[in-house]
Amino acid sequence: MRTFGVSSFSQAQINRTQLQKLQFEYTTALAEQSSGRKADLSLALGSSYAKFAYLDSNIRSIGAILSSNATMTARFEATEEALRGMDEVSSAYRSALIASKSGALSAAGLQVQSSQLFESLSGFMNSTLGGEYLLSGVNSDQPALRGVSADGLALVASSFQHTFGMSIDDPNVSTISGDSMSVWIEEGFASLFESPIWEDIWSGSGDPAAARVGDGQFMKNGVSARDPALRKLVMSFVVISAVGAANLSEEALEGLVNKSLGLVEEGREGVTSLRTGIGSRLSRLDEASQTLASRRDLYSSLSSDMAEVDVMELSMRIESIRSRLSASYALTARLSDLSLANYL
Amino acid sequence: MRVASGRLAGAIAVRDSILPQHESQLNALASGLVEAFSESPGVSGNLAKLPGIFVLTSGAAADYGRSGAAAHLAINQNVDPLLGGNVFLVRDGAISDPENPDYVANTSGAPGYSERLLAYISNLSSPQMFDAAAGLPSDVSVQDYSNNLLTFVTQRRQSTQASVDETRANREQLAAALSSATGVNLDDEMARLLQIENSYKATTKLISVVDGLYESLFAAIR
Repeated sequence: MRTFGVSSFSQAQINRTQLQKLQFEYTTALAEQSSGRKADLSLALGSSYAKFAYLDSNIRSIGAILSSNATMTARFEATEEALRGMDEVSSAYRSALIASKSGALSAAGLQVQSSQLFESLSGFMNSTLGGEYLLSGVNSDQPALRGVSADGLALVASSFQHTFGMSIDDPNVSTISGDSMSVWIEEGFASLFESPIWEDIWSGSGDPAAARVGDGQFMKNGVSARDPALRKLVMSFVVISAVGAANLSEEALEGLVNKSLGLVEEGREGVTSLRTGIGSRLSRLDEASQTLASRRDLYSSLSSDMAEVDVMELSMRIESIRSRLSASYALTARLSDLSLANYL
Repeated sequence: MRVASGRLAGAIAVRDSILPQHESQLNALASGLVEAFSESPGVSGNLAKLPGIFVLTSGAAADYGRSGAAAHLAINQNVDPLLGGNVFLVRDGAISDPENPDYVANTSGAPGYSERLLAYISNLSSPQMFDAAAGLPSDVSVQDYSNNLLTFVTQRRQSTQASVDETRANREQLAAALSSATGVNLDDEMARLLQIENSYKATTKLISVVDGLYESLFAAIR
């Protein structure tokens, strides 16, 4: 008659399967300990794995926007530097014009100063960052100011000829009155700096490009030389260099200098407001970057909560698996000793 | 006989329903990706949408060939520099047909043009129609669709793993029960062996006693 309900085979088998399970748990735990992450992420997270993937892709896209924002910041700072330089140049030019008005500077002297200052103005307008013209907007491969080209001077000359019926170097230009000189500058001359002549002759600039600075936040990535303020600055220089050397009457010369002075002042006001704009965009950019950075931190902590293992908990788990394993080994050895045959 | 479980049934299910469903989901995702990067003509609305950065190389252009899209997904060779393409078309538009001015977005050729790139970003996160037959929500963005696909797969994996664990535990219990019912216990057998051995010993003893009795009887009568 059978006295036990347990066969020797199942007695040995139970221990064997338990050992296998424990050894698997042990290797998984060791892998988690060395990587710091759950060994099988998709199995551990199940349906929330998509949330983890979402967080992960967001963290990466925020990183991309943050690095582009850093580039934008550099752009804005360089643009601000260029605008500040232009402001200084035009301020010096303004002093020269005032000096010429009071007679302290001759017409020829003004001419020299104007061309020198114009060179530094075009230097600032054609500032580059990483090989891109800062003030050219989307046409970043074209200079924002081409300088006073032969085409430009020819345009001014033909407008002059058209209005006054004589060329600029005609000795009879002394008959032109101050008023008609002012009217020409306001109308005929100013029209040479309107679009599309401005883009054809004087500047290669386009409109500023839009850039993404945050979630759904877009921003113009700079200032364009298409802005009226910068055009006015250029006009004030060009008018002196084109007409200033002519044999003008006292009155006409005064009208010319006054108009140029007016253009410089309007231009400087415009430059100041452009600088304000850049400053406020810089602070908006900074805010957007901070928002993004704090969101990235949040996402990172959420995603590491999901994917990473608690090191303390893990080491305790490993310890418990180890002790269970060694108990299991000891038990197996004891059980295999426990046979009636050994006692006969 | 209908095979409902086991290795063979599993392999058949994988072949006939699980993989085809995943395939159609991947196809929908691939078509969606092509759609998200496709180009609309700039001026007239009569012209068809053309694929942009991603193309399906299957040949049948109509409806981007819904079947097998994932297998045919490729980068448009017109923008792949390794194949002699011009990578700047990504910025300028007219990727599929660089000669067609209707599809050019950057009409002035400005190097700093960014509208097209911004449009890609917004296309990726705005809803579009996916093939509903694939069994996932169909009116979502590419990003959401791929997330849903991930959820679908990982969820299925987790539940399958759980049922595998459960079945395995069941099997172990059954094997133990079976072995207990039909197997032998060595100690038990040993005890029974000893029992038999003892009775054998006792019997032989008995025989030798009887033998002795006969011996002495024969000696008396001789």
